[in-house]
Parts: sequence; structure tokens; C-alpha cells
Amino acid sequence: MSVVVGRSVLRAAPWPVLLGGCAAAAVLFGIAAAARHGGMFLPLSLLGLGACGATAAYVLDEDSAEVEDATPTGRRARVGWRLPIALLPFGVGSGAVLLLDDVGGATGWNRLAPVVAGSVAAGIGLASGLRRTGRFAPGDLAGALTFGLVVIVVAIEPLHALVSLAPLDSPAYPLSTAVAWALVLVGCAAVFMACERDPGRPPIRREIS
Amino acid sequence: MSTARIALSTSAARPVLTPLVWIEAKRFARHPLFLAGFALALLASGGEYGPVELDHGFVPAFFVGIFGLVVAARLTASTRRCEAVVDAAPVSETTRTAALCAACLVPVAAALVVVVVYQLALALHDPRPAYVYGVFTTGERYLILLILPVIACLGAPLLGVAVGRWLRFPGAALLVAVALILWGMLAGYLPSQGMDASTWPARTLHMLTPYTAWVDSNSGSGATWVPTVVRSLTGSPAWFAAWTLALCALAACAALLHGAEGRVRQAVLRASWGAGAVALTSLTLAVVTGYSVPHDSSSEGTVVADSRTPLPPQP
Repeated sequence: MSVVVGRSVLRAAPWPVLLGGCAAAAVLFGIAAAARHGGMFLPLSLLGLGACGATAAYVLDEDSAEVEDATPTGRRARVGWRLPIALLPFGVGSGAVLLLDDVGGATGWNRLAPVVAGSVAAGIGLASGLRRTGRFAPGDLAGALTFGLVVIVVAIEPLHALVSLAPLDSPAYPLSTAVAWALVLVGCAAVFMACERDPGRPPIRREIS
Repeated sequence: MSTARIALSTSAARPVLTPLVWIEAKRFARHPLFLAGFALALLASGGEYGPVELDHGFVPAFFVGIFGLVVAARLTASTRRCEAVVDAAPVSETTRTAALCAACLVPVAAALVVVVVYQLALALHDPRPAYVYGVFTTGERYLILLILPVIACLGAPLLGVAVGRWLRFPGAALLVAVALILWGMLAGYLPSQGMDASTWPARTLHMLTPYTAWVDSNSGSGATWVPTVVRSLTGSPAWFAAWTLALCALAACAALLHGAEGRVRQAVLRASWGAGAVALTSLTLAVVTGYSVPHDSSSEGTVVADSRTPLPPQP
């Protein structure tokens, strides 16, 4: 696809929401850093992480997808142009986590970097899954789901008997945590690849002659 | 002419409203986000979740209330694409908004189920020692455990309807949800942020929120899961309930005000002023008549009033 089409695809991205979401996440991390001596440090950071994931869910919003699918611009190519925008919430989240690690003292906040990657991936994975069901701008729904999931997964740790997903207290970063987040990334990538194929293209079948 | 119109509106609106309420309630109850939140709230309430029972209100308030806010906003905004057709129907926007507001009873019912399931789950375990309830009376405990979470699950979806009517940019519901959580967290847990909880500004800020915390504890994880000290925070639960109910009424009025005309608009405005007055009065009473200082209740049976030291770590 030409750069000209790519530019128009990028121009059609929901920039106000994406920039607003990143700004909201940055504000949450900023308040967390300001309140680092109180008990609200971790919960506020969690909200920031959730906001990064929720913002990433808007990257694929394409109100005119129904029309664009009928034009000779492949869905995968369009999404390929859109995907680098997800680096924006990822950059805000990972940058904030590294900054919090500096100001937060002994706690290893940089261990939350995989959580940032996981939440951004979950946002995109959920959005692409919802796009496959015919919602061409699933950001609102996928964003809310991602936000809730990230906050639950890190705050409540429902799988703590098996694996700790935000190991802030342990002396070393557990291998099981890295494996768990790698699985989340791979799973979201698989969902994304499966759901973002061109809807009009039939599956390739080898004919037996 | 005006008499005829009023007669029409009162006699015709009710038969129209009831089926609309059913339709909107079914849409709410079938929404995947509401179902996901309800299921998560039940999962978090089925076991022995959390060390301090009085903090459980956070579970329905977050999973049913906050998720309900987004659902209500989406349901309200979903008719925007076919606004031209919907506006041509012989049902006013106010009636449609009223139906959406009435459909917010679905999350209220869900919250009621969640708090009852939690109480049933607790009944299966050993009875809790009295100190984990702090200095609150039996009536106040029931208010905190059963009534306040349910009111929170009414108010948030009502706010969602107002957001859906007034804010038209994508991500508005999520932004309001995050702002609401932030407001509740910062104001509700003021004592955890090194602020002297017994001062007037701190007591006012602790009540000036749609959701507040009533206890703080030194619970940890693993073996230190059950706290040894529980700190009861300031304020009156009964007047706080009245304050949050008034906030619910204000949210409903804000939603109904969009598109309201003539006498209906005047009535909604009058109701808003009334709800505002009730909110202000109940907020003042919640600050003035409630507990004025934090109390620390320990596992040894001692109660220390006006505790200003940070909660001690568990031995």
C-alpha cells in the first residue's frame, strides 16, 4: 500500500481519544509519583496501567471500515499502518514505570513493564476480536474490558496460587511471571492475526487433482 | 391547547414508558460488559475475599457500578446513529431517558445479589471477631455492607446515562469512570495518604465523594491476611447514604435535562434544586454528626480514639 494511503489511514485514527488517553494515564502516574509516600501509590499506578491498555484498545477504531473493506486496501495493510500508534500508550506506560522505579525507592517498579506490554496487547487483542464480530469501532467496549481486566489481574491477582503477575515483593523476578506475560503477548498476537485477516478473502484450500 | 397537551402527556406517557423500561432493562441485563462485571463480582464475593468485611463494598461498586456506568453510557449513546428516526417516533427524549434511568435498577438488583452472596459465603466460615468491624454499630454495619454498595451501583449507571446524553466524544464513559475511581480513591482513603483524618478539611473531603472507605487495616498477604488492627474512619454512614442517594437523584436529573422542554424542563430543574439542597444538607450532617476522629480496634480488644500514628505492621 502506498504511503499516501498509509497517511490517510493514520489521519483517520482517533487521535483525540488516543492522545487524551495517554494524557490521562500520564496524569495518573504523575499523581502516583506525587503520592509515593502514601498508601495510594500502587492503586494509582494500576489505574495508569489500565488507562494505557484502554487507550491501546482505540488504536483499531475505524468507523468507515465497512466502506474501506470494499476498496482495494487490505484490512491487514491498514491495520499495519495503525499498529505502530500502540507504541504511544506503551511508551507512556513503560516510561512512567521506569520513572516510578527511580522515585519509588526500594520497590522494583520496573517489574511492571511486562504488565504495560500485556495491557497494551490485551487492549489490541480484545479490540480486534470485537472487530471480527462486526463492531468497527470497538474502542469503548474493549477499552472498558481491558481497564477492568488489568486492574483485577494486578490488584486481586486471581492466579496468585500459580503465578504472581505483578511480583513487587519477591527478591528476584520469577521466571513463571515472564512466561505468563509472554503467553499473554503470544495469545493476543494470535487473536490479532486471526481476526484482522481480510473478510472478503476465502481461506486457501489445496485442491486435490 | 396546553391543557390538551398535558392531558395527553400524562395519559399516554405511562403506557409507553413501561414497555420502554422493559426493553432497556433487557438490553442492560444482556450487555456482555454488565454480565462480565456481575460474574467477576460474584467470583470475588463467593469465597472469603478480603480481610475486612466492611471493605467489601468496593467489589460491587467497581465490578457492577463502574462497569454499569460504561454500559449505561453505551446504551444511551447507541441510538445516536438513528437519531433522526428515533426523534420522529411519538416518544419524547425525556421519556426515553426516563426508561434508561429506570433500567438502572438492573445493576441495583445485581449488586443486591452480590452482597447477599457475600453474606452467605461468610456465614459458612467461622464468625469474625468483633474488632474487625471497628466501632460501628450493628445498624451502621448493615448500612455499610448492604445499602451503600447498592446505592453506588445505582448512582454510577445513572451517571452513565447522563454521560451518554451530554458527552458525545469517544472514550467519554471511560474517562468519567477513571475520574470517578480516582476521586473515590483519593478522598475515600485520605488517612492512608498521611493526612490527619480528624481535621475538618480531611473529614469533609472523606465524605465529599460518591464512594468512601470506612475502615483501614494492617492486613498483609499470606499468614498476615487477617489484620491485628482495624481503623474505623470518620463520618456518619447513615447521612453518607442520604448524600449518595441525593447524588443519584442529581445524576438522573442531569440525564433528564437533556432534550427536556417546557414544563418538563421546569420540573426537572426544580427536582435538581431539591436534590442539591438534600445533598448539601446530608453532606454537612455526615461530616458534623459522624465519628469525628479515627478509632483503632485491636485484636487484643483495645480501642484507641483519635489515633494519629500510621497503622503498625503485623508482628
